[in-house]
Amino acid sequence: MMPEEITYYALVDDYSSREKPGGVVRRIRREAGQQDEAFTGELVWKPTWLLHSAERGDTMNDFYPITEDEAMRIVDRIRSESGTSS
Amino acid sequence: MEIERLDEADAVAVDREQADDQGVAPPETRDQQAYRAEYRATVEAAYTWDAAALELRQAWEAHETKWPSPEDADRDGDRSLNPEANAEVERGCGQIREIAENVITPAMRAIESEDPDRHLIGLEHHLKGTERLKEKVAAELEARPGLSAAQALASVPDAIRFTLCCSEERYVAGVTVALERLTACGFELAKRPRNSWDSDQYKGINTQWREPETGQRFEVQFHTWASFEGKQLSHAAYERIRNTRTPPAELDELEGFQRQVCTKIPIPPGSTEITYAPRREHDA
Repeated sequence: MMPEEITYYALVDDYSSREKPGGVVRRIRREAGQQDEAFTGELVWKPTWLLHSAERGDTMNDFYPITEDEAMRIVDRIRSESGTSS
Repeated sequence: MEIERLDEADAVAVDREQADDQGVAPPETRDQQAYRAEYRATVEAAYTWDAAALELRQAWEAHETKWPSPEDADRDGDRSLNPEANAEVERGCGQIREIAENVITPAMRAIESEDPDRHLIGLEHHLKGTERLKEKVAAELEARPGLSAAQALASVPDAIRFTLCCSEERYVAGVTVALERLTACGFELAKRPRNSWDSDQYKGINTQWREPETGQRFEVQFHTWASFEGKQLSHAAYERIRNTRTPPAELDELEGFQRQVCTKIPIPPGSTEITYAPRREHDA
């Protein structure tokens, strides 16, 4: 059985930077197929099409592949900014 | 397309007796080699985008048969905007329409008219629909904690969008001149152009501009006829990719279809190297 493979991306928009990304998205590849998810303001991962949109030329956001460690730092920051610690 | 055949008088007789004795096929003459090369090039050239497009349409029909259309994810209400955000977008749409009609569209028509090899296509769709705008804002607000609806709407690059179609042969020149003309019109490049000519999911160049008086963003895409048609052909696949109810297994096949479309699109010479940074006033 194919192990789950996850690639994380930093989401950078007009109001954020590569140094302080505005969000984090992950692409999960499983045997049954793949799914993209964003870490939301509700502090849960939810499906998103924004990465596919960028792959189809949309320039609203830039997505930079990042390590799981950096992804979790972004998640922790989002949690702390929402007033909830991890 | 006619295939020009060599005159039979040019053909050289083959020593078949010798070949049969030795069990070896006789070497081709130079004229025969030239003929085969010419024929092959003609046949390959005859396999035009039109033929590829027909195959791709058939492939999509086969996909639709295999995978019935998923339910529309937007009906589940999870991704609707709250009343405040909804009102913000509705207010914004009116302003966007006014700026498009009074400022940006006339400038784009003028740029189009300056080059007979450059055409605005799909102009009737140059304004993103209100519902599509709401979907985009909702998706952005979800993935971008802390953003306001006003900020999300202001950063949508394609609420106003244009497609300029350039010939394959003059694509680089056509795009370069158009970019310079947009800058000369006073529009500001909001981001580095997204050149997707080496992507396997989409072919073309997307640019994001800002109208300086209002800050209104708009998008200009640069295509060849083939890449534009390819985008249209794969649009339904993309819509399914965007639908969060699409099964993961189908997503793989949808990406595969987009990849299949892209492999058929001829790459204009030099297109993958196109970048652009506007010249500043103080540059020499």
